Amino acid sequence: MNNYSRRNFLNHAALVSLGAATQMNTLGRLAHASSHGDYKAMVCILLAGGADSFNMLVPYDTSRYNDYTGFRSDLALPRNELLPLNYAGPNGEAYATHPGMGPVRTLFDQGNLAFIANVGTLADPTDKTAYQNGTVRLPLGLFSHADQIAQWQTSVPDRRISTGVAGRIGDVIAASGPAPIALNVSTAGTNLFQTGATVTNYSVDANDGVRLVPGYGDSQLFKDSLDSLLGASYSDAFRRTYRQKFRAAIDSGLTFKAALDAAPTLNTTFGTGPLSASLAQIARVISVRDALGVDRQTFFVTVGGWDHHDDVLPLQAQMLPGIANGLSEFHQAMTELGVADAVTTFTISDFGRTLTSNGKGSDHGWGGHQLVMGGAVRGNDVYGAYPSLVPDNALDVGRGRDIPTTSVDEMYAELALWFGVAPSDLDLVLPNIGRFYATQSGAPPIGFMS
Amino acid sequence: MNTLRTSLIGVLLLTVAACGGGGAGGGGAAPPPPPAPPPGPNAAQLREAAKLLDHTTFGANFATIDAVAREGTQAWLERQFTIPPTNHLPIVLRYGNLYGYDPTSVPPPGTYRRFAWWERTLTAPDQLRQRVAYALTQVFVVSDNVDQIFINPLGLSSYYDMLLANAFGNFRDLLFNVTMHPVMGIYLSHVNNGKSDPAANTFPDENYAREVMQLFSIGLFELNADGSQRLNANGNPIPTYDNDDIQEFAKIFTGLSYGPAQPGGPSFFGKEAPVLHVPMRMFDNFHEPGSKTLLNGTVVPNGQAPMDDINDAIDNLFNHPNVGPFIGRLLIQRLVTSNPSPAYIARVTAAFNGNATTPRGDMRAVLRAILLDPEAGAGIKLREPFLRYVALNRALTAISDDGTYPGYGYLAQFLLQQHVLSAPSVFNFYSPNFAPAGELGNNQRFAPEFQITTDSTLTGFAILMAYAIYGDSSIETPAGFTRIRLDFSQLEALAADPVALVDRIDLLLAGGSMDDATKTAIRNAIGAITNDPVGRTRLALYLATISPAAAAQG
Repeated sequence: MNNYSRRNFLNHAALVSLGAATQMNTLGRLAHASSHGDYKAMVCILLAGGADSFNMLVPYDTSRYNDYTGFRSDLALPRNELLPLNYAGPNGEAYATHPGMGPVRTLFDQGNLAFIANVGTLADPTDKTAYQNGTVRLPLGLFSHADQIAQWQTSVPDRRISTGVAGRIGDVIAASGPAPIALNVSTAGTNLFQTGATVTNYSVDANDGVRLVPGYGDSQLFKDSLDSLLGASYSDAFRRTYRQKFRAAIDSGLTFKAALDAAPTLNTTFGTGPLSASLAQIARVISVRDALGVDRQTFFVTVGGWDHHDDVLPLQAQMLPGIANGLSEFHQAMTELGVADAVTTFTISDFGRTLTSNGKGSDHGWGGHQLVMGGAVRGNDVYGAYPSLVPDNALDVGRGRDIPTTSVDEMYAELALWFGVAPSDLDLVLPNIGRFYATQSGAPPIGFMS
Repeated sequence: MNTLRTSLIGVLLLTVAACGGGGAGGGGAAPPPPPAPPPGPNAAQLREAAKLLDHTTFGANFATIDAVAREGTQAWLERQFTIPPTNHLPIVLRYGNLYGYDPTSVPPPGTYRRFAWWERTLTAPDQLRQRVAYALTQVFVVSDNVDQIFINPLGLSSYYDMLLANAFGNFRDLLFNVTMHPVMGIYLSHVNNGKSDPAANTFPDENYAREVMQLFSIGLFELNADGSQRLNANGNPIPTYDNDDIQEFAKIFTGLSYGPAQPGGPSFFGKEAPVLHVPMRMFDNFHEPGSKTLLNGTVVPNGQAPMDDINDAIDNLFNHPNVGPFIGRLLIQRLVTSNPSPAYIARVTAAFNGNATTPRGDMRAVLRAILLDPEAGAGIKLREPFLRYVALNRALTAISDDGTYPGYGYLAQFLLQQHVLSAPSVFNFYSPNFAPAGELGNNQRFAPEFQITTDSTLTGFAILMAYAIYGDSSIETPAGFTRIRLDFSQLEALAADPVALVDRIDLLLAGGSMDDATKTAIRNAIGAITNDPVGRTRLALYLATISPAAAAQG
């Protein structure tokens, strides 16, 4: 979308939010305040399309940087433009971030951000021989968007299932009492990640927060009529499902609006990019967590446009600063709210991309790098195993599509344990985790959370 | 816009709040005697016509429903097949000329393709063709969320015209023309896709090769004629292709670049200014040489003409037994019902596969099978929120003072998360296999449109309906263009009789399928408004448009 249409969107957003703001909210009620002291939240940022993360975390020591340029050819970033990280690996490994990610470098150097290298969807621990001989279960639809973007949300790559990781965490929480409506909040609409068997997500808009049905707060006649429509019994499941969702949307909107209307104004200022707008809205929701009656929350954000078969270098240069700035602003806001240690933010993406070029960009790959941010993250480190960048190495199944060395299951297990999921419940949240991690071992799956 | 907002809120408050304050139970003048029943179709015939028009058009007013009920649904359908396409590109050019753009040099603003879509959708006589083309935009997905496509409206309008031209033709030609259209070339990056360069370690782009199989023709797994998955000896589904196949098909789709801006003019392989309204052309020197292995072991030989490679690959996919059930199910879901029975899919597959007199891939045969199937009258789907908005404008006969309909669509897109040719990705707005948590999901019933039915879009739909009905805004027309307004007069004439008013609205917006509880609730609501036909009509419409009965229909 160009600036012309984006401006129109923003104008409409302002228009609609003004309209909503004039509605009288007579029925809003505050949910009971949470009395728990140990609030925790996870923020999942989906970089939809398959971000080329091999240009986001780049080897900087001379030997491996030379491998990188040899493999990536016209996709390699010049060494003198990279931003070196204040990090030295046990064997002299050095790393740098993309030139557009200065704030991420700062967060990393300050110990508030870490990378997980070459993480991806795995149905079983997999090596190249087993892959080539077909002797290992593989993720369904490997290298395809639809399946891989789903499997990063379900963490069950060998089946196509309709629940996601945060949804199943919500199911575990809901098993001990009713789940609060603000448990799973999305700025990206309905998503698989936050869909469970019993819980789903609440959507807020990145630009204008909570909207209400016109007239519902103003007119008793209209309110009574709509309540009557939504309280009637219907002969078909489609109409019953619609009625339930509409009823829930109205009730949740009233509750949310009442809470957000009382939100404190933050000193932190957010930029105007898509990630900043979403994270600003999430910061507002977190600021009223007590009014919403939640001590555990997950958030889901999508930033699309990463399927860079074409023009990967200029497009990354254009898009990555928005990611880095958004992350930095959000961390600042969490610090201001005093919950930096309680909120952990991480990225996911469909897949890494081919290390080789198609002459214009890169194609669908497999393992890639993700970043994790927050006060509880053991930052200033690169976890997992950064793969060799020599063609046809032991992980390369063609064109620099790397077999992941850390599974999505292990990454989520680390986050779920920190979030408070009991080791004995871990397989409810991550059905395949036993293939990668002994849940009763007492050792952390990866070690990036303190 | 501030005026519009104020008027919406003001009208809403005046009409609803003020009247609502008055005691319920009515009073006022005694209702007039019911009018004598007019001669013409009976209620059941009207409902059947309304349902067919919901499946086959962008919505209908009472006159159209009445006419189709008189003509008979099958006769109407056959007549629709004979109407030539009314194209969109000429409308873009007309607006371009009108507002001083020379399309041969600087393209007009991207929004003009939206103007053309709204104008044709609201007024074109070839409604079935337009509606099928719309369904095809959700199978062969391209989107203006890509800048290069957004900024040049000639691209998407010509893409739509290509779908119109092929909607009643043969699926093989449709798949070929989709493949060759430059907008698809940009969207799935096979335009300017060159051959391998071993020295530079570069390879053909695999994007189109994958999606043409996964989404546009055969899908991921081998299917039976009834749409069920074939299973191997171990009981597992059988993939239709693997990554080696993708790499082979990627070689096929090399060498294509933009065609000439003017017939016979020059064009070059590479990154020159894109020409988005003529098919891509082949540049033989940039096409991957050598033989390629297609599905089922078919080999295209080394040395044949590059365009023969592409035609052979399209034929290879077109003749795969999956196409009938895979594409058939998608079109049934778009037009009729979310959960066709296996037998319904099998009947559509048989129509796709053809017989002694009808060739394989005949789209008219497929559409007849979909729309006239005995199950078509009994199925149900959640209607697309965007189409419900469009249908309101047609049901209330949106009127333009000068006959032009420059719709804008951004407000709808913002509130509904949906607008034609604006999907977030090639995977469309929703998955054909989405099943919402709860009753539907527990019973393995698919309901794709629920994937965009969120707290935000449910509320957003109500906001959009309030704008249209109380703001009298019809389609969203930018400042400086002709004002479009909805015609409430026929409904207002019925307002004195709540039963007649609600029955008419039921026919227009819910195909006559409203539950009694819905009708009762609306009648009770408007019964509280007295001596105010405008207020009654608008409240009834507002409640009806957002009701579960109007949302979910067969």
